[in-house]
Amino acid sequence: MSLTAEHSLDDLELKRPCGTLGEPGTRLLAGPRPADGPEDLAGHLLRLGPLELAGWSPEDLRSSIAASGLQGRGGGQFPIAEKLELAARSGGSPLVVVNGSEGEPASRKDRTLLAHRPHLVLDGAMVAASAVGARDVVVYLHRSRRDATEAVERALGERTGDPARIRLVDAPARYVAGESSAVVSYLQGDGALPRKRSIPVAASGVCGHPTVVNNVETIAHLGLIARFGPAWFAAAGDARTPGSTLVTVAGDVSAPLTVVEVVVPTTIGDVLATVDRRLALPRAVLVGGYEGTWVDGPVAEGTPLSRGSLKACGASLGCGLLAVLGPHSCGLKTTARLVRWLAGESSGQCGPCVFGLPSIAEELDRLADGTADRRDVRRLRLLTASIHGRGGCAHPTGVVCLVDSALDTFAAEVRQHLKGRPCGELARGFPLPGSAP
Amino acid sequence: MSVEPASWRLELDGTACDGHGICMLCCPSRISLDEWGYAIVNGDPITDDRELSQARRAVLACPAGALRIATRRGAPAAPGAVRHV
Repeated sequence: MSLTAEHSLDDLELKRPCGTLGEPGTRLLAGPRPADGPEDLAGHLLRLGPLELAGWSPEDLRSSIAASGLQGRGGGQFPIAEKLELAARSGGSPLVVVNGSEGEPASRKDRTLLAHRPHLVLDGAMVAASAVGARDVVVYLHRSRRDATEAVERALGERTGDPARIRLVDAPARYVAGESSAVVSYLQGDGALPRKRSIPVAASGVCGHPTVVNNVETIAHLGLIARFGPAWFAAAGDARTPGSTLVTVAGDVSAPLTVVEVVVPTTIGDVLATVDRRLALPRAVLVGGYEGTWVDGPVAEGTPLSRGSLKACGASLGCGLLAVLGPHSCGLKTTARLVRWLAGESSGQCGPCVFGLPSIAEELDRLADGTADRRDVRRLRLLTASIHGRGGCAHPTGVVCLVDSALDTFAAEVRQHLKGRPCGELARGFPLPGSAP
Repeated sequence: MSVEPASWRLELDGTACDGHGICMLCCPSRISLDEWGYAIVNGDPITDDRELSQARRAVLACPAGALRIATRRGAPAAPGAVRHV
């Protein structure tokens, strides 16, 4: 791919392991500072140059994207090129969905991109649309995200000559509404219910049309790859984790819900220090989302955010959440609160989820209160084992993995609670919709 | 019907299962029930003929049509083995 805006490449060179919005040396977050609000079309074009798609065949675009190695940033880390290839070969008129539902309560990366770099996201959507020959793009976004919605609406008013029509669709505010099968189901008018599908949505999605559902961050990367090429993209990161990645830092930190752009081998400790320079060693860090994995503080500090290193601690980057449990907070109380909320987010389709998750939440509440005994802990382990891998979507399994990782990581706290001894407070900075922070 | 035996698998649609529990009586070696009565299915390949016929019986007996036998994840195997709705 040719470089259409060579002058700006320097500004996008990754000169730091991690940086926040508006800091030079970042990629997706490069450009105006947060206080400047959404970048308008003129500023966007001046900074990055025009997006020239006219000279590219869909095949060339797809092979360029494949060469970049870009993986989905919504949690599944699925190579986007495979989805595009499948959609392009499946016939029918494909649809591109920019998934901005960001149902993870503490994640802010997609909202940050939509609210501050709307044209970069929409450029990426045009790249995806051109790569599969789609004439329609849907931006799936919950209306309560006012800043993001307004920025996208304004950006749509500024753009002309896009190869595909872009529509903004109001997404339901549910934890499971962002799962790609739920997105497809919702766009068909069936309600945002996640389902196991025998045929991937990229082959047959909304009303049988190939549907490419990708997270906002993934799409935004395409806007840069189409300008600067796959080699530029993959020059950052390592072979298994190419490019930069957005991470949201939440929990017991001085500036919770800060979005940071990261390149491996940056460690979790490096990222936390960027957000809070005076941060004491955390008791633990919840990695990947509310259905992620607790990693012991000292281990997390030195763990690089690469796929392999995270996997070695049983974790995965997921939606990019790093939620800090401070040294004086109680991991069991905090997990019990998350599990109670997650149990209520079940889409109500399967028995193990409808009956199992509330039972788990109840047992965990008793453990957190200090009223549980050994048998209750054993029952909790039996419950998680009996639910693991079942149900029509990943939700119940995600919850039981969180519970198991809490029981492992906070084994010392479990013993204290069983003896009825006092322990730490509920952690701050773990927001839940509908409750006080 | 002769199909490679190693490719048969019992599959459950968790969203359809209503916890009737009849399947467990038909095919106890592959199906158990959780404490709320919902089916827990062992989805490993079925190689034993008797087990396969028990699994077929479970598929046909399920009032919710939640079970099926597939050749691999997602693909129905053959007529008679597929889910009857």
